[in-house]
Amino acid sequence: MTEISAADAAVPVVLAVNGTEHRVAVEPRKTLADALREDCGLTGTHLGCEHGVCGACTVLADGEPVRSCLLFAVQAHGAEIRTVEGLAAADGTLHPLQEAFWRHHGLQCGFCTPGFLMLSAGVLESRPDIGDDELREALSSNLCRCTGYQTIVEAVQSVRDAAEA
Amino acid sequence: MKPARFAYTAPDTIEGTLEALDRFGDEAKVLSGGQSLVPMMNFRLARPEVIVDIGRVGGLEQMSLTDGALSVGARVVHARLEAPAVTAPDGRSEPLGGVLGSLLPSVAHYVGHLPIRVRGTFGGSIAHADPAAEWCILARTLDAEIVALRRGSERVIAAADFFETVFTTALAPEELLAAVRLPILGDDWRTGFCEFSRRAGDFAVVAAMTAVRLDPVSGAIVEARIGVGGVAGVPARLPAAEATLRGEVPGADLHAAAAAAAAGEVDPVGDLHGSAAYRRDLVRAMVARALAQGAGESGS
Repeated sequence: MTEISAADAAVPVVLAVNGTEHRVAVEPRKTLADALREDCGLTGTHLGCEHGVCGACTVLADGEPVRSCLLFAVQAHGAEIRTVEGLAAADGTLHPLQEAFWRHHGLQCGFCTPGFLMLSAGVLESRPDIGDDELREALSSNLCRCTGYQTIVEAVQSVRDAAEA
Repeated sequence: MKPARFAYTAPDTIEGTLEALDRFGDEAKVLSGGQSLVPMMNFRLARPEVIVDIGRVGGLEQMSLTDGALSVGARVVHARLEAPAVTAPDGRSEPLGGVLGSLLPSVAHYVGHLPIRVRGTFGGSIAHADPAAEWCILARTLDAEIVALRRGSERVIAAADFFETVFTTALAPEELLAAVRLPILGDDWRTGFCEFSRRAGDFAVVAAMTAVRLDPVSGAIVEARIGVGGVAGVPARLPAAEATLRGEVPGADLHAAAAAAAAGEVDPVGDLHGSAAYRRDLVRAMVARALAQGAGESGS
């Protein structure tokens, strides 16, 4: 019989986040988003709706953009997780997407930004030559209440175009 | 917005999964991609006592061609159906061709957003049985077969018998949906899928799928299937509209007549996403467009 973890058990989970192993103990019901914020101390991942609509909590799991509010930390055991904290270089040099969001005013209040950055990073890494229409559709995964999206689209396009040039 | 407590198990074999389901019965819920179940748990609309996570089970992620059907393993994610590939008997992976090879990507594209498509699974969508879900409409329209396993036995359920009502299927609590078998469509089939939603990635207000088989000599329709979602508690087939098509040669007038029959045949319930009359008109429009798509016309 496979092991059963009790509902109030602290299940040992290893989360590989931005190349660092975090050994945490979480209840089975704890989402990856909450584990990142509360157990790994990585509060860059934001929680908006907590039911998979807004995309603010988007992180990369094994290279793919996922909603970390719809993934339990126990499910992420062994996966390679990347969060917004892993984008900038160790010396603080911003990632090209972070630069572009800044330059193109792709944010205002900033709440949705970590999710948009990770979504964009995942999209451009798997589809560096993605077309404008598909890019717009991919970015429609997440919600932003400030910018009206156009500046976000332009920021991501500029990174795609710079990489292609 | 946090789920209620649950006990958790993540077997790594199908046998282990079936043991857990057998032991916990209706206290247990299978977690596949979690893109429908977890939102319901976060809302506490679902409060399973035990989660049986099949994410570490081997053997549920295969797509293969067997006995005239495409077998889609329960854990195949939506994104994989955007560029479907099958495992050949020699173990190599090759792109799925034919009618299904072009139909599946056109349908997969409508499923949620990218982050949903990379996690959510085909089997999960079928088992969740949302009446507007693309895969449920496809399964019902094509008369797919659902392979359900329980400890020591296996049964095959026809899609017509599988979907019982909203979020309710013929699966017993002890059963695991292991795969769905979609019949291979020959080159004489013409298919279309059309969906209306307010924004890309939203749930369909109404979606329609059509599949017609043409007589290779006369070009007349010898078999017609029309399925719609968003108008009833389960994805519905529309026999009166299908009958309109049979024996006729595809064309704009015929498609309009079938679409009108479809609109007359459904009995939608209005809600805040659309009144009954609006949904009825959407059925007409979506069926007409799907038929036109199948016939290689641009539609209206």
